[in-house]
Amino acid sequence: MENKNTDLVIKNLRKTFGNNKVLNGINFELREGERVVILGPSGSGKSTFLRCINWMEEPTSGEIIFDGEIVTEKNIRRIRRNIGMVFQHFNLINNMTVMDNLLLAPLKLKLMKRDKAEKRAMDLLRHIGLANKADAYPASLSGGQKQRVAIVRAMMLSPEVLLFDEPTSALDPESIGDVLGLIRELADRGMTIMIVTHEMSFAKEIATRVVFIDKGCIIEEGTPKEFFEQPKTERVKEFLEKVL
Amino acid sequence: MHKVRSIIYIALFLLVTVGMGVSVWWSIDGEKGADYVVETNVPFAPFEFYENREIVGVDVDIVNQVAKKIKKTFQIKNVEFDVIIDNVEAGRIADVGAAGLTITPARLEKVNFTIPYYDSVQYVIYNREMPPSLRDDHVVWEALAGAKIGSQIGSTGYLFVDDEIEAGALVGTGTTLKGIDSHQLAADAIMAHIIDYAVADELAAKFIVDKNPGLEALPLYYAGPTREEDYPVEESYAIAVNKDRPELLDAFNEVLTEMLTKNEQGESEIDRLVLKYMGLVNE
Amino acid sequence: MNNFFEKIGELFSTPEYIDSLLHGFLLTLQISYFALLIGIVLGTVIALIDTAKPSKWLKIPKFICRLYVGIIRGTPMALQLFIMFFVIFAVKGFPSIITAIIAFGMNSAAYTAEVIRGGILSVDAGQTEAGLALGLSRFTIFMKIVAPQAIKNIIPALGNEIITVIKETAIVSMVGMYDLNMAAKDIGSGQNMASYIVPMFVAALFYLGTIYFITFIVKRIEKNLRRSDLRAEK
Repeated sequence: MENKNTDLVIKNLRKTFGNNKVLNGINFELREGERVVILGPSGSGKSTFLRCINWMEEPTSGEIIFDGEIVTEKNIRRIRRNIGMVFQHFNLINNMTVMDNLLLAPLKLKLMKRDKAEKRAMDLLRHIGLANKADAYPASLSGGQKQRVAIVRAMMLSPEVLLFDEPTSALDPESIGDVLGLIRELADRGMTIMIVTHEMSFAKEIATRVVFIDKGCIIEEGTPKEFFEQPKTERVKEFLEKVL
Repeated sequence: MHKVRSIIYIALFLLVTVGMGVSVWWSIDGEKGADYVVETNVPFAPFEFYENREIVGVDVDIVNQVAKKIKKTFQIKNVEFDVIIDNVEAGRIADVGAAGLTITPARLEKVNFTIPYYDSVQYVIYNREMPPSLRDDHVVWEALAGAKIGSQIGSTGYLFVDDEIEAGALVGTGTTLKGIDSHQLAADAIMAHIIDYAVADELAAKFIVDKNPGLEALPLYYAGPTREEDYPVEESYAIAVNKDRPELLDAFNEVLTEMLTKNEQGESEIDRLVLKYMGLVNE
Repeated sequence: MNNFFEKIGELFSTPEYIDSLLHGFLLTLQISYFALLIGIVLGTVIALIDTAKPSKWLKIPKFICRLYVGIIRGTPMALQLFIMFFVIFAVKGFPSIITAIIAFGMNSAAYTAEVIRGGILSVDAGQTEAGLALGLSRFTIFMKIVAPQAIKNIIPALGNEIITVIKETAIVSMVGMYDLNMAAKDIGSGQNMASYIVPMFVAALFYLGTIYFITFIVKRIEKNLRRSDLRAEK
């Protein structure tokens, strides 16, 4: 895997939807090679936090600094190339074949030559065992296949960070294993990852750090061992009792 | 392959658009450039009706004679009957209204009228099989009590019926009045049993009855103290002219005076034209 | 009833009547065609403004678009036609066909805008998000992702609008224009027919034929557009 110096700093991030305060001042840092799992009850703001990082949601206030550069309206499109994102509902482009989904960004943004991009796409598809689906439309794929295509689509531009927003929540139990396997493989190769998930055992296994968010604030963070075995706050203990 | 097909479609689209545009251009060409605009409402035979898409009739002939006299061009436009008086009053899109218009005090406030050129009597049109009760050769208002009556909306026939329902022989009798698009449609409405009777001017009524064997028409009378003292529902037609065009009013009056002058046989040109357009004179 | 078929036969065998109907039909087509052209272009512009991401600059245009669509859809077409003829374009010598085209074009724009807006909004927001996350511009996302998917939802509804406009143009006879409807009235009031029913029936056949043709074309386009879905289902 390509190696770049990742450095993400988030300062006092706030996000409100109308009167609803979803994020209430989040401070966070991410270093290269880290694999951060974000946990929290539903409605805690963990997805919003993830989506603010690449401005899927525009922050109400606060700073996001990526590789030493403050993210603004002006540079966000360039910065997004270095932040891959995988969605809960896959969001493959329905009117394009699997291959065209993979080629879309590299060719439209003129970052790769067609033949090179096609070769890379084919390699990635072969790697996930879906080379025969290159010319298929997303509608003909299963949920697990779609999500794996979505992951390799995010990998096409060799991003520095991959954001996963509940990547297995919309999948049937059989497909979950395939998708988690692919994420695990990326992790093993040193990919920097942030993931919002409800898969506790997977979180425990893959995370280098766990962040717990509730009511729009980071309540607790630490290594998986600390977090799952010696939680510091009552809130986390309560949460773990419910989910484990 | 895909590209070729797109080009064919685009070419086809452009061709149709240009073709349509040209055809619109032609139709515009024939429409503009008259000195005065005359508004009328077709069909109202024999005063104005279509023949091969051209408006013809007594009113059209009157306008043409005026045009010849003052050496100006007139464009005749077919519009809804209701709007003619208002448009002539405003004077922006029309100068003259020629549509068998009856002189009424309300209309006189808005426009000038020429001298009357035709006296008309209102007729009742009815289904031959379901006649109203007759008084010899005519029908009195009272015979229409409780019926559904139709008349061309905005026409004097319509106004007469409305008056009788509001404050005349038909008050409180449950008689209803339907405004109908044209006299012709009123005839169809009788045959379809939508209305019982239609009220229309003499000539319009005769024209309709002539062509619809199932229908008959008789003059409409106000009931007098005795049967002999019944008197007809009458009106006079004139042409409406915008109040700021006195020169036009004079020209129309001059022409009408000429056309109303009777010859040795006691027949005026207007009489002759009426007969001609009624189809009662052999060509 | 015998009389009815006799009169239909008479109508079709009289060249003047056929000539009148064809002239009326041409005007109906002229008004419909250009009104729809204006409607689709203006409607697309309105829909794009209406569905664009809210911003300072678009506040007033968005408000105007919503007001426009609201007023046009909230008032009867006949009234709009009258206002166009007797208020806005009440200029002597102004060709009535142009006034009619503008009146119907402006009316159709409001409905087309709603059809296109509906089509755009029916595309899942996730499709746009995927494009944004990949660093694509909003323009590219619209052209390559949203528009192709929206069109599939727009075409059937647009076909509906085309049919509506063609039929609705019949009210131009209210302002005395010689369209198909007026041709029927003309023939019906003539010396020989003296009944609206037969010519109206024949005019209805003209409308029916036209609309059948339009429906056929729209169905074909729909089928072409759906081909990608069919392939996907295999």
